[in-house]
Amino acid sequence: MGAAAQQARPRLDVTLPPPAALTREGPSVRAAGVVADTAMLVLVRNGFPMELHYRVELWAARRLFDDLLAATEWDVVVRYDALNERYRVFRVDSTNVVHQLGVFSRVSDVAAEVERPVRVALAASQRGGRQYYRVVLNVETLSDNDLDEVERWLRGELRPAVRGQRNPGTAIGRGVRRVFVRVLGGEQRHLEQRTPSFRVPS
Amino acid sequence: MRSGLTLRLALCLATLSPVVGAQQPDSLRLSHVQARAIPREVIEELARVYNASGTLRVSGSYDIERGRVVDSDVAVLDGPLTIGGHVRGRVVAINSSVFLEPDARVDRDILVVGGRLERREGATVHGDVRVYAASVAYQREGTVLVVRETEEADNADVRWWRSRERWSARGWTDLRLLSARTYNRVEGLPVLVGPSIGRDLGWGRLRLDALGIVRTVGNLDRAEHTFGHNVKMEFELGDESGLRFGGKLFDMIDPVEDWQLSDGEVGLSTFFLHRDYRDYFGRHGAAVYAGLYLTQASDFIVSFSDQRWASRDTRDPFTLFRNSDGWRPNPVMDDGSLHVLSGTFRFDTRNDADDPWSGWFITANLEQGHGTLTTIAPASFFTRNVAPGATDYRRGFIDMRRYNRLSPDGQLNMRVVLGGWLGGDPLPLQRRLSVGGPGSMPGYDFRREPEGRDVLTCSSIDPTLPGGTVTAVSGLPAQCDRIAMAQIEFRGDLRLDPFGIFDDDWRPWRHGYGNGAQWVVFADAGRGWLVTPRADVSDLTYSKDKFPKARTFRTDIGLGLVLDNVGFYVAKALSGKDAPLNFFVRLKPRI
Repeated sequence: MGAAAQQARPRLDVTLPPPAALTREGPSVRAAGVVADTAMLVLVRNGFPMELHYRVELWAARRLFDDLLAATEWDVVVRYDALNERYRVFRVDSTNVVHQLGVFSRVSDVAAEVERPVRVALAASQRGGRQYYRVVLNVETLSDNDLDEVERWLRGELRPAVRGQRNPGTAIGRGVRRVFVRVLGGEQRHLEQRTPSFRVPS
Repeated sequence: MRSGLTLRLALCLATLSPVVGAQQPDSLRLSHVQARAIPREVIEELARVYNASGTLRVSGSYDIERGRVVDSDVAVLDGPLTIGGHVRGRVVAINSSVFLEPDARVDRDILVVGGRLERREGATVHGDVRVYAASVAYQREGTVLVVRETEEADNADVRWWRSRERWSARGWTDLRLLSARTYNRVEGLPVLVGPSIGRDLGWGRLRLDALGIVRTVGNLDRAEHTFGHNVKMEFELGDESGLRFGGKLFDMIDPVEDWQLSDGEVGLSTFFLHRDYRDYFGRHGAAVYAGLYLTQASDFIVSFSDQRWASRDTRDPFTLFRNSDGWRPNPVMDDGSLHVLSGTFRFDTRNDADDPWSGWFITANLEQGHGTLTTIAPASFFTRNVAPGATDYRRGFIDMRRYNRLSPDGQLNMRVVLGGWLGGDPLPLQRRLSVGGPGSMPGYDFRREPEGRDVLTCSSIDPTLPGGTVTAVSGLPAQCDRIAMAQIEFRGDLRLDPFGIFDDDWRPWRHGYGNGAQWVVFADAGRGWLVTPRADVSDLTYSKDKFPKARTFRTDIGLGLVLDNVGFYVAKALSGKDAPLNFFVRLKPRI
């Protein structure tokens, strides 16, 4: 594998804080090589927003079954403003507050912003015993969930709109876009990483 | 570090913050954390500095390289601004972040609004630092920049994000075109088309969908086979928790059992392999319903409907392979008119619906049907002894799944499914159940022609009995009054990313993506049975209070390898020594 390929390889880096800070700080999470994904960039340039959905979970290792102690989620969105030829990057936290991260003209700046490490406010539990973090990143250019939701609703079955806080939008437009997305191979990427198990120093 | 320096760092970070701990300037300290509001004097200061004649104004990404000296104030709009050199004046960033390189030096204040400040070790700031995460709105009036506090409607990103939410506006109207259910041998691809309207009425939200259904393999001579409809009106009260009630008119084709395989798997199997793993019947009528939902974890819906049931013939939709082969006939179902009262409960505490590691997922349904069956579909001997006329039945179904993490690399999942007749008259054919096949017990073939009595579908061929038949019912429908099935599986991570390795050679952009690889070991046990007063007639029939003994259950075991999201499995039936290995593919987790 060449150096360039190694560099471009998408990956999740998860770094634990120093042992003394485990109960004060969460892990550092960094998605590397995601913006360099050519197919994704093509889609973004053509008007499909790139959504990076992060989910970080704190687990406690138990004798039989592990416990999920806590979790947090957030999104980072990259949109291309064709009128101004700029990339707009913003983050949506778990309380649905939107934080602007910047407006960029160069892809390298977008990559630097998106792939900047973030410290997750999910510190280890003092009484959690042996613990570990699981980090999941889903990258997608279009959410199929919207359509799934419409279909559930139409069927009139379970939870027809419980999660229905989203506007399904115009299905024709979404349908056509989804076909394009799939033809281009964009749709969705999935990255997952786990930290080694650790104990909180007493 | 200047003693007595007052530094203000306003951060609006609810759950996470940029990793600046290691990069935090030693000359900076937090004095208070401010949420979203930006003081008026700060907004005025932004405009004042930006519009000053001596200010270096830039828009978009901008670098002040190492070694460069800027004598004036610097104002950046929609940056980011990266400073490696020396700025003798103030630095103002509007909707922009500021990055200080190791040799950066700023002699006066830094004010960042709508962004953040990051400083590498070695950078120095000799003035105050203020950072506000919230952005501001601005517009140009001639050569002057006018800045004001952002309201949601001003911010393009906020506006765009909110527009994804259904009720971001007081109303919306869409034209929809989407598939209903999935590709199947009765409809081909059913397509829904029509308007959808939503209105916020203040006291609640109203939604109306008026969708027509067009089936790609319908029969134009019989319009009811080609066209259908699904019109639905719903009121919703509440947000995270609340009530909803509504009504609908429908003329649709529904599957008899949809609990085994997902819509996507059934559709792909039909389209590619010419194999449809479901049976179907027509439902035409109207329903009213009311539901209570409590957060995203649970909800409960009660519905009452008046519906007409009718059999549907097998069509011949196009398939990619084996297109000239025949289809398994869609079994004839009971025809009739019924009032159906149904209650459905859902409880979902899974940490991740797509890749659950822990939690419960429970769905339960109780149904009471009352009405008249005008045509009774053929069934196997012993299945039921009914004639056209009034019927009144009660049926229940519960699917319980539990996901457990044993270690970071291992997982134990369990599932129990129970369902069937609870009381009243015998169940209509479309409300009966079965097990067997890739969606439930893969060691056993799906709807295999029975030899004698089949405890998976409750079909029977026994010419030795009075009234016994020599051939199975066409299409091999599910005929059990009750079923019980338990599944258990262990999943272990292989720490491999085979699709990534493959893609590295052929499609480098995909390298590293995917769910990786897992190995799976599983075991299933289940069976179906009939409930009759004549419980001693055969090993297929039990009285209503009896549960079959464990030794009568069919069992299978299997192994699997899941690559990315595609699982390749092999299963072996334990109850039949000569049963061959069954190979199957799943696109979703088995449990």
